[in-house]
Amino acid sequence: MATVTFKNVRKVYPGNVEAVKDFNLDIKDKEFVVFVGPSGCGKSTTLRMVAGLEEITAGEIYIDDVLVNNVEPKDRDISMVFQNYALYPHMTVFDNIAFPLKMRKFPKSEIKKRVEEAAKILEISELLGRKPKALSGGQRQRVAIGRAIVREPKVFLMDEPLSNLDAKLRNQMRSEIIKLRRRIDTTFIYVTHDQTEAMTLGDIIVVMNEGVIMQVGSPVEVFSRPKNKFVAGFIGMPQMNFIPGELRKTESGYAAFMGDIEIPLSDEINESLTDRKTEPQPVTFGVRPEDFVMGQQGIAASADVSEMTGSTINLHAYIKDTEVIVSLDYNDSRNGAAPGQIIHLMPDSRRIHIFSNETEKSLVYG
Amino acid sequence: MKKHYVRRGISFIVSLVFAVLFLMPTVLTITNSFMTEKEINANYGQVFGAAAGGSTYVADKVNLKFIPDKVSFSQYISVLIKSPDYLIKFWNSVILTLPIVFLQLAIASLAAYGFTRWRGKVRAAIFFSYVILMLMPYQVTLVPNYLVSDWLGILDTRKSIILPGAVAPFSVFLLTKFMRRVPVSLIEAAKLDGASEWYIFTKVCLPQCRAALYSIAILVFIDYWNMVEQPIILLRDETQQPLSVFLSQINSGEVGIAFAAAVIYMIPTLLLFLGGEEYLVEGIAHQGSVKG
Repeated sequence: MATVTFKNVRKVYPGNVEAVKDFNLDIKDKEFVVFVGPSGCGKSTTLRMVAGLEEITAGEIYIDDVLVNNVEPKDRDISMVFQNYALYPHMTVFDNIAFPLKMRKFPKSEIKKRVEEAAKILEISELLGRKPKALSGGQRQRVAIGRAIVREPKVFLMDEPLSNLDAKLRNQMRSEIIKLRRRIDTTFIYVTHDQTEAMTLGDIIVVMNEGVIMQVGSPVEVFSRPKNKFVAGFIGMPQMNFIPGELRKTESGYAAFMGDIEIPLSDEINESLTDRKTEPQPVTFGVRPEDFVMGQQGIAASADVSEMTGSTINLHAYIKDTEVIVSLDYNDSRNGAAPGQIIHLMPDSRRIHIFSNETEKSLVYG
Repeated sequence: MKKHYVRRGISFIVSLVFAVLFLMPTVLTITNSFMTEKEINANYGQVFGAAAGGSTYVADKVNLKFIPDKVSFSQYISVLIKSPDYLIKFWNSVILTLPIVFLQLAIASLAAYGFTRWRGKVRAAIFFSYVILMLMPYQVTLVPNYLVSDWLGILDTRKSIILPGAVAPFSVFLLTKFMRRVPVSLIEAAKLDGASEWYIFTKVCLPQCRAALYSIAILVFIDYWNMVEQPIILLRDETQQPLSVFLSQINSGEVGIAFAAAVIYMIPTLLLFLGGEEYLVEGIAHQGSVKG
């Protein structure tokens, strides 16, 4: 059980490639923090710096208030699950899980007890005598997790542990990790590029891009109150629609103009804009696909193709030249639209996001 | 359909011809080793007969014979019991080859681990020099080896063959290529789990390279088991020379013994190959390289 603190951490690779820029974060004890972002955003590098597998160019990392910049990986009391499982192929499952305990010279009886306990938790007791090549992807992942938990580390690091699994197994393993977390109740840092994984697993999500933290918050916060256009676009599937428009002041307050259509904004948004003394300006509006309603009134759009995803239909449409996706209820017979048909879309006024064209920051939550 | 069978038939016959051509010397050696000295002399006496002045000559006509008139173990009895010289030469081969194989494996695996784990411009330059050395035929290095051995005062001792043999660029190159295939995450995981560098090398990295180690062991063994030039130049004391030198200098009257000695000489290589055929194929296939 431990806290992890990052103070102005930077990582620069040879050739002056800055992978992580001025990273500041406080991770509380027993918190499950997820670093999420696109490939090359610096999330894995940051995790590896915590593990001690990457040198820190500048700044400080503390584990439980102890500066660990120059502490050997084995002395940091952390465990890590790697993307490719990193199981020793010539050892049995038992030996793989027992490896960290053997290295720390635990008595044989204790090793046996702990390995069997971990195997029971992960439901791999019958696999202890097998070699990794005789295991499926999901089983290998369990063994990798077993090797990490058996030592009862202060901090548990996971670097895209589910990305090598197929979609079905990934869903299953996700819920297994949630259960596991409840059982072992320690500090987790989890890296993924999959926003669904981030949303379902994390207490706190750290959204990163180009080595910079774009937003830190709970899943609900980053989803419903994105601080900038990047976070708004990255979190949510299908991703948020961005529509050019104008923020104007009317007699009743601020209003959004998309094309010729005026969309009144909710009191909460109005208050926030007023508090920030926001000037009327050309902006980019953000509307999530599920926050559109198709009806008789609203912004005119030309329907294009539809994607049937199960319970919803994702209808692609064009508002002038801007492509938007509208998520519609599959069971509602009114929600069909043939390609080329003109439809009218009305965004939910409480859930409109407004981004500055200059800074791409949210004018409401940024 | 008919065309298909004809094509298959032709390729079978061609393969068979090549197989027979390749196997013929080995089969000839084995079957002839069971002939009596008299029968061998009748077949090859003329071929290997000593000419006036002591030098050997080759006759125009060779009487190749595969099936002995009467199976005899007399050549084997001569090699193994009557003439201890051959056994001593066999033992010389063993005590020259085995240290080279083990030392080369030990040094090459350590060097390869270094090249794999730590990169940098200096190491890249050293590794490149290994590749250059590998491209040189070993005959080129014989003269420098002779001079250095003389300077070290180890000329005419086994060390003059063992020491240069222990440090071969080919093994370092092959093992480095193999070790670079070991996922870095395995080494990192071991590091996080608390393993020392030596432990990672011996218990994590080397077991992944078993196929390469075995391939190298077999190739090096065959290479040095059959060496001729090095002992002739660096080890002039005949009592210390290996059997391979004797087999390359067959004299009249010893042809039958040479066949038997050659068969005995083949056995260790054959056993080594059969024991590790799987690893050898895997090791070479992984590298996509062939020893030159």
